[in-house]
Amino acid sequence: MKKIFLSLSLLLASCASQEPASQLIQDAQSAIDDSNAQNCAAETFALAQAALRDAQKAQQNGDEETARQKARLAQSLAAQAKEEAQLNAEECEKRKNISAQIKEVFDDDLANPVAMQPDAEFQIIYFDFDESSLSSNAIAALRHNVDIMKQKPAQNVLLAAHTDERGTAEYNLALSQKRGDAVKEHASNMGIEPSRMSVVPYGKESPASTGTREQDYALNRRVEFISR
Amino acid sequence: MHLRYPLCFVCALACAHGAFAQSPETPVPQEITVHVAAQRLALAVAPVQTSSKDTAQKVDGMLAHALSLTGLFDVVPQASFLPGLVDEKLDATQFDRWYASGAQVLIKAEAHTQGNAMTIDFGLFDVVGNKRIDLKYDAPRVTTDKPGPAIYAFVNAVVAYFTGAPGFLGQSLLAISRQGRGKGARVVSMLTDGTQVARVTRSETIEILPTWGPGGSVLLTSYAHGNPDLYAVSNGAGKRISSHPGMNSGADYCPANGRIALTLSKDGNAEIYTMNADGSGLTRLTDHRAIDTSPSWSPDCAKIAFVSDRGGNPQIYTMNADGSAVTRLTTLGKYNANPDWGKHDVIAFSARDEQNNLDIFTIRADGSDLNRITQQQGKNDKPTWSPDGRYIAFSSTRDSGSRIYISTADGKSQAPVTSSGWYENPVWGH
Repeated sequence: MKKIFLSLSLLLASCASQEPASQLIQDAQSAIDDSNAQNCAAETFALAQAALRDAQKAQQNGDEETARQKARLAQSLAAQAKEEAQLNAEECEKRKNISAQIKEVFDDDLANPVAMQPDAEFQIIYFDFDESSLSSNAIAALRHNVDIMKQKPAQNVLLAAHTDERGTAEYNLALSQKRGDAVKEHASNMGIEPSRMSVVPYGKESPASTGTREQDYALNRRVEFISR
Repeated sequence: MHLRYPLCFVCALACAHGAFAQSPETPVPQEITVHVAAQRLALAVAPVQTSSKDTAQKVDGMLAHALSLTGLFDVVPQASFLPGLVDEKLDATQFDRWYASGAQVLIKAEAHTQGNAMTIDFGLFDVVGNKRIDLKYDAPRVTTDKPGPAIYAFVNAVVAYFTGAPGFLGQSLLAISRQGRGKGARVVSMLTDGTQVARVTRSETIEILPTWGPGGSVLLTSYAHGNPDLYAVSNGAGKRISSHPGMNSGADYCPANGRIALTLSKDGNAEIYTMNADGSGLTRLTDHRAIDTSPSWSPDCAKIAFVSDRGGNPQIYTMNADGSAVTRLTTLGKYNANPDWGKHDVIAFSARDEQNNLDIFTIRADGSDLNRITQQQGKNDKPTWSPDGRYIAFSSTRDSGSRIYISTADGKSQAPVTSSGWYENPVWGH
């Protein structure tokens, strides 16, 4: 994660040149293709692909600045994925061997997880350590999201609730449920029909940042709004 | 003349739990209780004699690892062996020279191969008593690439000789595997020496909190359908057995009554329920505004330990199997979780300190005899008892990555099961 921030800083520093988004998107696509990380750093690779898709979407919508930012992020993530894949090479090879022994267990549809990406138009609701109550900043962010939902009465959302990694797996799962429920209750009190929101608790299983600094943990204690 | 003391004074794991041997060769009186780590035997392990260097290397490595996990021995380094001992034959033992090398106990082995097939003749020697110990066990025929079963059978017999009950080698663990910190969790099975790691499903989504179900099946929580639902995986087929909105997790199966205890948040708050193995017969046990989670059956299935923050922070509680008689068990510290109720009514759990480190503790089910198993050696989490209640497996970040460790019940001898990869959340097979 440090590398991401470093890379981002360097990339942002070069913003002054205002490269065209199309060029940055092309560079990001090349970086992803070159990373060879689809199998051995699958998650970071998927994040890079998602960022690239966001960049392409922003470009189509005429939002050049967002397109540039997302393309740079995609390029940075691709670089990290490449590095992870190289570090994971030995373990990855073992996994390939193991996969030959894997039993046919789940139905085919279970092998293809549902993509869960937070919507950019919504703000992320952050929480304090071990807390499920909403701070004033969190309520302000929630008000922003509630306003959007009021403008789009047909839009339902999934509230993906998370914790940082400190603590035990199932208690964190329950804590994330409590955070999701708290957001749902506040949004309901602000006028959103509860049936438009469903909470999915993730505990510590899907961190936004895999670092171990306080700022990494702070990024992970969150509830994300995902359109359904 | 060496000043020798009889080998039989040395420890027995089982002594601490009053389960000492019935064997006629039992070397210690039953009333002696000696801590394993404090009285570990000095063990010399001679390199296996065989024609293949690769085979020898594999057998030697697996044997040393298996012995390290038992917590019974301090291995004498080969550099301490007197000249001529390394190549000594199985039937010619120079006890004085082994004793002078620092050994109280000696293991020697000869592997005989025919093509890929192999048998291994092991010998256990009481160096102090000048005798070969006659171990009774079935020595399985193995292959040169997979000598494990032969090694496990021998080591389990060695443990049985010294402690009165066989070792755990060859038993299975479930665990969570990741490609690194915070990466996607996948459920794997492995043997207790960390070999034969295999995925339990081929799903490419988050899988957490596995446990053993009826008939060797695996219960796990998966996000395959977007929500953390509970699945039973058995005989190559998976079935979703609990899919209420929110948490369907923390399952613990009790063979004695066929019921699964689990956590559901279907009504907006994490509560403990029990149900039949197919998901039917759901019964709610807790009903509190606080978080109630992580149920663990007592060995007789009459009670359940669980975690609740009804007192302001997560603590271990117990209750009857019908949800009555809720009793707080832990009172020290502000974060006690992940209880696992062992065979001898001792509950192992994880506790988080002020620095947010997790460590392993044990406490008797009546609240007495609190013991610390780990001491701020990285993050130590998710203890799981061996079926015989003599060992605890847990995950630890004390070395690089996250590894599975096995500890004696008193915590005095701990050894890593896995040496690479990222593994968490071990669950011992019963």
